[in-house]
Amino acid sequence: MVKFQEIALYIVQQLRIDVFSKVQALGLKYFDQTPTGSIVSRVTNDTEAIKDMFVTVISTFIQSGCLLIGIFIAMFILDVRLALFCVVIIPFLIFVMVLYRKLSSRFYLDMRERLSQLNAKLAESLQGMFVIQVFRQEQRLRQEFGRINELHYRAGMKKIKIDGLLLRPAINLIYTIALIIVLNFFGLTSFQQKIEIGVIYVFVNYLDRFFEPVNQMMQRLPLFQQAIVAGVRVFRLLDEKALAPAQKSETGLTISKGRIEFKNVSFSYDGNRNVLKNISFTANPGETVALVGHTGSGKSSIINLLMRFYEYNRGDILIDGESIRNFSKQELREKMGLVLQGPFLFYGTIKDNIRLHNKAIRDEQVEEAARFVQAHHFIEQLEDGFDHKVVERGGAFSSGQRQLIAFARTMAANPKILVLDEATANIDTETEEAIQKALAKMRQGRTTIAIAHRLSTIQDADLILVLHQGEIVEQGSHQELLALKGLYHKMYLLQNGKAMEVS
Amino acid sequence: MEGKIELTGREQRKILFRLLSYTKPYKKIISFAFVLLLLTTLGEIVSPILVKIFIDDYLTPRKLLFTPLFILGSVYMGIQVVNAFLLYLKW
Repeated sequence: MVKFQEIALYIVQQLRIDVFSKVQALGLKYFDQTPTGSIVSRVTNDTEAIKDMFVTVISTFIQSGCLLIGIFIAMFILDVRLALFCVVIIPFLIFVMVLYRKLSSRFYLDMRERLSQLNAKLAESLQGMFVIQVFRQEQRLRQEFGRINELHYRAGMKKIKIDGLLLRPAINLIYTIALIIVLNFFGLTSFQQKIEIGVIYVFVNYLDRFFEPVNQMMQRLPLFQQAIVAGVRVFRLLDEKALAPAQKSETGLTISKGRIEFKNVSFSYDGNRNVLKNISFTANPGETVALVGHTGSGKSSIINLLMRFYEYNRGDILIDGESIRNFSKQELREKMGLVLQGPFLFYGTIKDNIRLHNKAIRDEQVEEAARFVQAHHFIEQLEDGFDHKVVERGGAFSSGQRQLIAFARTMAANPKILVLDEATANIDTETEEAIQKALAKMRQGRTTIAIAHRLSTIQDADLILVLHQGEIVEQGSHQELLALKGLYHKMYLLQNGKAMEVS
Repeated sequence: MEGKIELTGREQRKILFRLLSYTKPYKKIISFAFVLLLLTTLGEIVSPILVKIFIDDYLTPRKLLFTPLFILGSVYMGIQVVNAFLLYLKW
């Protein structure tokens, strides 16, 4: 038994790695549409079900199949007529098996699906626990959870009933009938001729042995069914087409100047509603382009496209005159530094977090980067300095400090193009100043695309794009836009309200 | 959610073969195990026949001679022992 289990474990290990790497290769689009819980259950539960199949089902089936064939051969050698009687049983057995497979497959599918829904619900409520507790949604979620649970229970009950009827009882019935036929045959023939007791013994013995593997196979059928269903789901994920946008990796193009051009780019997340319509602008090397606009105006979408998280539908994005699709992923990631709003810190030391396990970056460069963005002040005050352990996604640091670490991370990689998603206002004034200073330094000599929430921080930008519902409605420098007295002017007044009136 | 998955027999077979294709790298071990399996199956099928021979050829005619019965018994025992051993080795 040991060898086969070992193989099964190897296989499942391989399958799991396949699924995991596939998940990493998927585009962000897939994750918008699929609940995390159901992906988790693909990698864990479903592969586990497949393992069960390899361990118990296949071995049982091969073993039972061999035994059945062997028994039949022996029967025919011993007594052809009697063996023919036994062959009559087979269609009945097959009928029961097919019927069982059909019914159980339906309920199994149902059950697995419910289980996956349960997982998804659980994951959702765990992720949103904060909101759930604040808005007292416990009751509602409990009810929703309860409802799915109930459906799961019902599917399970149906399956148990089918199992109870078709597994042992039906097979046992056929066995008894077969036994009656065989004994009758012997009884009837004994009137006309002498029969050998030994042959009776062998046939009864064989019938006994015959039904054991059949029963075994029937009992394994659910596992087999489960594995097939799990297999479908795993393979569906493996065959998923929503990959991360493809890059032509062998072109060997490099980003030297950092000129970015958007040419009539349109994009939609769901394929229906365009979140970006005909966006065109140019950021010359070393220039800063700021994106402003209300929430949902498409600022983040522009960055998502530029970073190649999503594939755009129409138009083209050019870097140094070449379509962004023609650069290798590595080149893009190396030359474009992204600083996100909520910096994600990994478990490890601060040094690791800045270097991101890139061996090419030496310790001095890490410290240099930290000094460059003024992060070394607080890092050096920490216990162990740069070797300080980051736990719980950096929860022990203020968001400003995390931001500075993220800056250092970007600077350590020394990109040609800087993409900034400016942090919203939850930073204390002192850190805010440090961040602004760091940002100004970082932008020097780099083409920068920045999302700005506070207009005060981007007044010196070379070009400001005002977005509204996916369109560029105004563009120009700070002064030009103010003179225009349009949307930008209104936003500026709103943010600086009182100060403007005085001046 | 992905909705319900309805499967036809053919699709199920396709999935099965795809799953089985993962065993390819282990063909050698598996075929070895298969040979062992055939041996045990053979043993299981032959032993009742030995009993039959005993009943029909020796017990019923009351021909209880030592030598053939001893051979019969030894072969039967041997098969059982070998089978137990193979069962342990198998897979």
